[in-house]
Amino acid sequence: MFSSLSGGERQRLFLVLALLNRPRLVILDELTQGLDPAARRNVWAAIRQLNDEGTTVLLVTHEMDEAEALCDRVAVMRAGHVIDAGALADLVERHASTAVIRFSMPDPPRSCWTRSASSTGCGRWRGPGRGSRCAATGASSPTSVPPWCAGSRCQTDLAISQPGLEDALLELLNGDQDEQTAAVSGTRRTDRRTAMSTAVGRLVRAELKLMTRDPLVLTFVFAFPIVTMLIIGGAFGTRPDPAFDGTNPSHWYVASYLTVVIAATGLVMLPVHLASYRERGVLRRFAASQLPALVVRDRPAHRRAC
Amino acid sequence: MACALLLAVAAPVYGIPAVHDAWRVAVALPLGAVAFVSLGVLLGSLLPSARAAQAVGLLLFFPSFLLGAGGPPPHVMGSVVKQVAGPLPLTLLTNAVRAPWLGLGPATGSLIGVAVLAVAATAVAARRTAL
Repeated sequence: MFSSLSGGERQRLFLVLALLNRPRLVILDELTQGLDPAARRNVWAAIRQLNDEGTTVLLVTHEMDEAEALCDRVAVMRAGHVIDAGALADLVERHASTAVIRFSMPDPPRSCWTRSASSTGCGRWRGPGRGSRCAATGASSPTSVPPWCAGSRCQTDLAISQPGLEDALLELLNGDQDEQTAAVSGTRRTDRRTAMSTAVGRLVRAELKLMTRDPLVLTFVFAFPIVTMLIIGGAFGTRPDPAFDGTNPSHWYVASYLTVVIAATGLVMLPVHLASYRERGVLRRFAASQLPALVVRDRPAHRRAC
Repeated sequence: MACALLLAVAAPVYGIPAVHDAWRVAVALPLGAVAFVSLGVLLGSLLPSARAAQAVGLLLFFPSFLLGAGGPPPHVMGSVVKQVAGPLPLTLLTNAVRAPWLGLGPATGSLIGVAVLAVAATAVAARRTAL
């Protein structure tokens, strides 16, 4: 049934499932990926309504228009680290405050191009001729168009491009890239190794915590061996018995049941957990992470279609 | 952790038998753990769903449990059942742990069997593991 749903229908189903118990916080990861524009707008409306009703929404997205449409605060991440965060307008102001004013001026007065940048209001400008361009710093609006241009011929195709979140993101990531390139490679290797060991440590700790709460594990790895050992260990008495190679039957079973714990872990718990993780795509996400190849291996290409 | 809990429960009820050959027990237990973990990884990788893994896992576990560790001792089993039980991985591991623990012999054959199983299962699991 689920496999017959389209990508968009699956995303909508995930949203409904996430909201079933009316959570106070929802984490939506690439929710609108693969949706057609109409479905995307519907999901946006649903998220807005959810937020209006008091639910905090943590939205993970690569679509800047989506972030601009839905988010009050934005955190930009690179390689698992937040490199900047803040209100949308603050981020844009910090990293991309330059608006670009474009206009054509086929036959400009010569005096225009001899004016200094400060007197025209432009940080830098290019011209004369068609496609003359003026890059103005600061929050630009039609009123900030250089006065020598206002009212003249160039106003017919005057266009002001306000910087958006995407421009801010590009500036921010470029700057961050430069800083990363400047870093010493040895330090980077150490950081990466530390990040990996931290990730593996967290994974193991989380897995152990989940295991101790899983009914299957509690039943087969903890309860079953102990209960059956108590019952069967006492069933044959405690006197040495030839059927048990002349040993105390209870001791025979105490020594034997340690291996039952190992077998239950290997034959019952592990296959179920692993198959479940594979079904839900958890292992694929790990494969795409920074974990070492020894911990997570990707499926060979010839088996991908299965 | 589960092993420690089992021993902690057994201690006041039946007492914990003295370990005659600690080295062999100390080798057999981790080898057995590696073997069964590898078998588990293999099953979890090859079976198509969690339900299938649960069904097959339980199907393998219960006969192994009854014939190899928690069921009647081999001396009271019929010859056919004994022959079936003998080569089971859990029987090998139980022999490799129980015999040196209770002073019933070194159980070298079982220990080698567990070691071979651990190496083979790990190698196959490493080759076949798919995400």
